[in-house]
Amino acid sequence: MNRKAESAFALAKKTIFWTFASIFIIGFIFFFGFQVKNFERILVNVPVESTAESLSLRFTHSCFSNEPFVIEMDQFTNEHVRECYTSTGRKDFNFKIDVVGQSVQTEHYYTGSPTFTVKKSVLVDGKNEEMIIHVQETV
Amino acid sequence: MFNKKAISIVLTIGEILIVVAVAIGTISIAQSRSESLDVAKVRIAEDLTAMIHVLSSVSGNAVVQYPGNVQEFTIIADTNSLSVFTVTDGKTEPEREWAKKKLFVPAEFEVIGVLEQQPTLTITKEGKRISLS
Repeated sequence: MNRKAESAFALAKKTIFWTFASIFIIGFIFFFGFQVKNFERILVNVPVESTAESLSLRFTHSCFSNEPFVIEMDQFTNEHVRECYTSTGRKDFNFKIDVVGQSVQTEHYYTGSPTFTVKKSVLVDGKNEEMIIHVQETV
Repeated sequence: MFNKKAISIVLTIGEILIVVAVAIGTISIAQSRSESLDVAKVRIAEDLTAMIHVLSSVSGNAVVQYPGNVQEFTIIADTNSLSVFTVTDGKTEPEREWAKKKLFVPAEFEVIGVLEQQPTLTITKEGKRISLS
């Protein structure tokens, strides 16, 4: 091969290399940007359990009596729970609460399985009972 | 036609320029994100939302002081939502969906508050009214 042809071949090789390399580099910069954004999202992410805990605090503290951790069964009704917590749909948190075999639920609670459950100790008629709060999130 | 050495130098300079451009690109992305107040904004919105939810759960009155500095932010709260904005050169940025949090307070409760670049934030619960000041 003569020198001119060799030089042209080397130039073509580099051009092809940089065409692919530039696609890769642009892709890398976009990937890096997305990764940084994703990292930020992880940084500010609040676990759904934590939000559900802060929302369900009202069920043990103020919904069914004026004293914390005391449940008055005559106030343990769907009307009371819906006054305490109003969701606008199934994309919000929704709750079903079980105490001594009775259940109440928020308006948009779907009758499927809950996302997770939270258990609390409460007093019902002076006896220690367990309150099971079924939480649904974005059904 | 082409001088082989000259082509080689031009290509090497081109390669160095591309490497420098990539380095500047990635560093500028990292720098802009590190200087951004987005993370702080979302964290403040999450903190205040949780505080309002907890305050609306307890009976009686309460006053809570937010421990962080909120001087760089404007905070607007009503019964349904709470939003955190940044103000740059006197201009309030458009509302960001991720810095706006839904509030779930019991019926008859009222949440109210507009704070513009104040260093401290106090949440007061008086009866069924929660106010930010």
